[in-house]
Amino acid sequence: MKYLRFAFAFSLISFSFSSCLRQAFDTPPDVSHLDPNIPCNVTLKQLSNIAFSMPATGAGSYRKLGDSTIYGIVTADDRSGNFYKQIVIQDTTGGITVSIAQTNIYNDYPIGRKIYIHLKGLVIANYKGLPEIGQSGSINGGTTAIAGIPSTLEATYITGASFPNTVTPQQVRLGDLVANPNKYLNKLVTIQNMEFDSSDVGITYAPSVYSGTIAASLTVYDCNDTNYTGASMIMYNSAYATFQTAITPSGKGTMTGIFSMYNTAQFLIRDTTDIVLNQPRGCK
Amino acid sequence: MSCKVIALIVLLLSITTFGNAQSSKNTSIIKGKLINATNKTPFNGVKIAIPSLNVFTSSDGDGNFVISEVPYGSQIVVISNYNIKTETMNVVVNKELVDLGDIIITPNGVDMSPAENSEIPTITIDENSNTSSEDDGVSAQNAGGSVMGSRDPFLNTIFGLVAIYNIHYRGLQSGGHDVEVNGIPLNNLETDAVNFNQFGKLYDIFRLRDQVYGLGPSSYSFGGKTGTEYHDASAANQYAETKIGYVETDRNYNKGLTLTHSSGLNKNGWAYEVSFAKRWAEQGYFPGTSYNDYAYSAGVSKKLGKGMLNLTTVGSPIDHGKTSTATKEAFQLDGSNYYNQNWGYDNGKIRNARVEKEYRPLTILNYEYKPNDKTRWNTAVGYEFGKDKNSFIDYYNASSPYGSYYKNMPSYYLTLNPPDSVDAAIVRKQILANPEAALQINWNRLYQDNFLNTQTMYNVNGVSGNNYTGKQSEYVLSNAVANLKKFTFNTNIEHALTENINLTGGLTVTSQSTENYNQLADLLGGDYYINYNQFASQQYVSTANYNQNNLNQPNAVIKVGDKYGGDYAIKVNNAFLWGQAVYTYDKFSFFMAVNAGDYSFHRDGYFRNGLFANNSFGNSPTQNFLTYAVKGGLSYKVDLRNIFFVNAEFTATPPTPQNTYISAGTRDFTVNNPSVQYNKTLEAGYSMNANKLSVRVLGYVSEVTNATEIKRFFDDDPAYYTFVNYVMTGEDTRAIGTELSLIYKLSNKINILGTASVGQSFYANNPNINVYLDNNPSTTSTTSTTYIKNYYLAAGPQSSYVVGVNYHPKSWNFNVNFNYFDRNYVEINPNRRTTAAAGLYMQGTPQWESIMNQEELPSVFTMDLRAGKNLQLSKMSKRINKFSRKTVLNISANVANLLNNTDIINSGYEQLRYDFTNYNPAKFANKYSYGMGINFSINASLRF
Repeated sequence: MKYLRFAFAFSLISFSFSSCLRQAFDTPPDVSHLDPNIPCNVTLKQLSNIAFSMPATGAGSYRKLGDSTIYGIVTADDRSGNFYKQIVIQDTTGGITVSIAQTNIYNDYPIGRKIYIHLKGLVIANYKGLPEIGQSGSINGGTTAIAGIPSTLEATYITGASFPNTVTPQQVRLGDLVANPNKYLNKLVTIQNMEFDSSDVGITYAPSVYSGTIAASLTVYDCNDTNYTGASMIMYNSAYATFQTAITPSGKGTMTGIFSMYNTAQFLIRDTTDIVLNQPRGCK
Repeated sequence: MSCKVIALIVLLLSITTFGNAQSSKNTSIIKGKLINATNKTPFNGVKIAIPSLNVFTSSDGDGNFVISEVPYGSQIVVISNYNIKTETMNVVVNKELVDLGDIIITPNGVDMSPAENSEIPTITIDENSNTSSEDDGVSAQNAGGSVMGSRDPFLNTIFGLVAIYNIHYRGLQSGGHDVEVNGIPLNNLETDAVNFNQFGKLYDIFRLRDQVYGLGPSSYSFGGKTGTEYHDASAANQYAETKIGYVETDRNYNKGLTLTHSSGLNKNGWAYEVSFAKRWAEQGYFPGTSYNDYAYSAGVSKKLGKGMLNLTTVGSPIDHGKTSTATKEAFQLDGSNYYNQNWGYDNGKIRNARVEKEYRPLTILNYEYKPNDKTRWNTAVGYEFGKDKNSFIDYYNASSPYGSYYKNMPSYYLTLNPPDSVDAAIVRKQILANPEAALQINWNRLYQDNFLNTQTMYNVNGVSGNNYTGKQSEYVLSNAVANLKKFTFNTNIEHALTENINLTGGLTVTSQSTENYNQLADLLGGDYYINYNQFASQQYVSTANYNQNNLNQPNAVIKVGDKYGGDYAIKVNNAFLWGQAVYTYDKFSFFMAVNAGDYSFHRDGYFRNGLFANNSFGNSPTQNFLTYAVKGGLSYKVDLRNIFFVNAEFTATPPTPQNTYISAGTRDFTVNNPSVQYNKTLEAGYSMNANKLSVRVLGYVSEVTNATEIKRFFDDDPAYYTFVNYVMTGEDTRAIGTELSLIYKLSNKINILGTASVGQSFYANNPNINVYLDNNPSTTSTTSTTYIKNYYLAAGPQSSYVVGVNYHPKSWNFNVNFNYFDRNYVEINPNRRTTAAAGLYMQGTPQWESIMNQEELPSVFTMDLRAGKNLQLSKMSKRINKFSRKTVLNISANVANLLNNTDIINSGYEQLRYDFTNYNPAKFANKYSYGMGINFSINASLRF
């Protein structure tokens, strides 16, 4: 009687407990290292040569791209913040800067990842001397601006592929870069026997953003070059970089980075592990 | 507590009491006992009312009832309930105590009047708190509300609409509504809010004993600004019956089941009660929302001497996937006003990033002692504990995982300098081509990004050379956990000193601790997570260990289940004493109540933050506040049908810990000179109860002065790139308005009701605003004035009108309501009303207007239908159970928003982020939350 009602009630309870309980989510397979092997019909050298054929700013400094595909391995990303809304990729023939309108690009395309880029809809530009891919171009008061690939469109243009891959930096002399920039632009290079100019030793790599300056241009020298004064270059460091407060070492040694151009030649490191100055100073 | 204050209370009460002790004896106490005609047992839980006096009570476990302060003369006493035949008695009141003796009550499920139909609308309070807007620093707007329906015509009409249309009683923001169960306040000691998620599903056992709307006196507590309600959930005072209820609906959940079984008081003085409820949906009304809730209660009562000892426990494990707010642009791109950014597909299954799981059971032991008809003394201890976990996607140096993040929207390209309309169009086209892919979370991308990021953590736990290499998750799923422990002691005594004087008082002591921390729930394919303050990483590099969230365990490798971020507790102690005297005479009645106490709290930090090493770990100094409140009221009865009344209150309430600690997650810094805020409230009105027409009209004004309010949000302006805390001090607000409710009885079967509520709730001055950064160790901050005087508060529609028709032939009951809501304003960003926000724009220019104007949301018209029927199934039930007295089947259905208006904006707010570079308010556009279109619920319940 009374117990009958109880039994009825509790059978209903157990029925309701068993229905539709939440289930845990499985970890999906790691496909971040797979290479879809998409056929490529343009090399980065060919693409760069198109840019070199165009003026460095103003009318004709950028051009819409046709239906072709490139690949490259990421040699510089924005993890440290020294590169901002840009990555640099490199294939066996050369390299190119890819402008993406997003921060933390390294989440998807870290250094060492192979990517494919479907060029149709994008532009190639000669941006102040540097070959660069972007979403669109515009000219304002005679100056060219290149808009990066919007975050929403990233997956449409870029396909991630194998990871990790190693790009061995090309051993060069500073003088080679100065003498023949188009051959080395956007490439990862290593130069030995380098040191900072004496006035740039023992200071932070870049000033604080609160100082109102957004970057530092330090001078570096190649000690192997007998014509000492002719083999110098600007190392451009962003004030937003995580290594901004690191102190420039006084020694002599190896510097690795991307050879770049912003009207004049400049050298961009990924982070301070690119600077290994473990020998005593001694250019002069 | 100060002895002077206690002395003052005693003095005040004694003066007023003895000063009136010799007054004429012209009221009486009516008592009686209800006996079930079928089995001669006491009949509990039945309502006994004197309609002309607007008073009611209900019979207790022994069937006894008492109504005090009944004026001499002839009174109509109505005994009614859904399960009995209504008894109407004409009682001649001519002596101090009128004992009606045993009253035989005949159970009868058929004669049911709609007012007594205690099947509450299934639209419950927790329906609207299911929206996440934490990222924008706007806490979910949870209007004050009631656990169940009400007998007040105004409340009864407006109640069902509170949750769905974001109505705020009297234009007040949350808090100020006291709810007690068996003597234990349900209000949170830190926030003053009542957690309806934990108690709302157990309405079957929450028997409303007393309810006050506004400032009037309650016998059970001092009361809040908007009102007080007292529920009895003890086993002895439940109906002796078994009830099964079932709900089918398309709202936040799809199906609901309730089971309740109560024994009633047996011959040995024992009673027990058990109940169980479950509500669930794989997907609720809003896309991506799931719902999986349970609730239970268990109680036992034992008659001990002249009192009843009750042990009651209630609990509700909930699990809700939440919906989000969004900008108009995101709603348009998605093609739906119900766009929810919180979900995405994970392995083909819908996964919501913002899931709330909460379980905070409350156990109450109380003894209610009734030595005689004139005295009731309840003493209760309660313990509530448990966690509220709100999940979110946390990320370290990564991009927002949300599709509608402003930098992913087409409009972002138009806010660039110069505007890029070409790319805006391309992005728009891309999103429109596949809104789901663009606007929902791509869980697989989060996993793949984590797989790519192998890193080494050096010197783990501060041990040199202790290195750990693995996949460092860039994205993780974490829970913001609030772990509550709350102990309450409460004693409350009520004594009828004479026929005219009723004294009430009590003491409440509460101790509450809430620990807040982040707990890692899912590494999303990675091996570990870091415990660094990424926002400090860029700015305070020169400070050693600047980026460590916990210096006591630097460079920690965080795994699933580990705490990280901030970890601290807010510990609050509160004790207050109150007393109240109510005087009732022929023409006048008045009351006075005093409340005084002490409210103190401190922060206890469990992490030593790298930026605030000396102000984050261990106990902070205690903040101590003396609180007090005085209220009183007067009512004048022209005759039995016409009553005028006026009530007033002055209170000094403490600031909440939330509005005292600038950034409790990182440090113990407080606002300058934290102090109590003052509230002044006045209400006055007139009520008339004639045969055919009852009307009540009242006006109110409520002022808050010297308030402190802190708004917090993440500012991704590169100049800040941190959590920002806006501290407003010396803030004054005012709510003023009028309420009208009327019921007109067209016939015995039809009545028409109407309510109107028109008010203004607004900022009354221009407070100071200080800005503090989470990652800035300096205590200095910029002070400016925010010109918000006369801007409206976000307090829901400030005009609301409801007209309804009830038709109740025999066992049926039909209701149609027409609702109109207007003057609902978005919540303003105070920082947009500063001189800095206007830039160089001149007053009166369109740009200036677009920055300064407060948006008024569109008005809303809706129509709701409800129908119900109850059937007596005695014959059928006799086949199952021949001992059953009767079986009642109640079926009801309701359809809300019958016209399917899908453009109802319930609430909106200005984002706290603001474009201080180009002064363009469109860059961080207003966000909105839309109400449901047409929706239904069908309820069935069987009582036997």
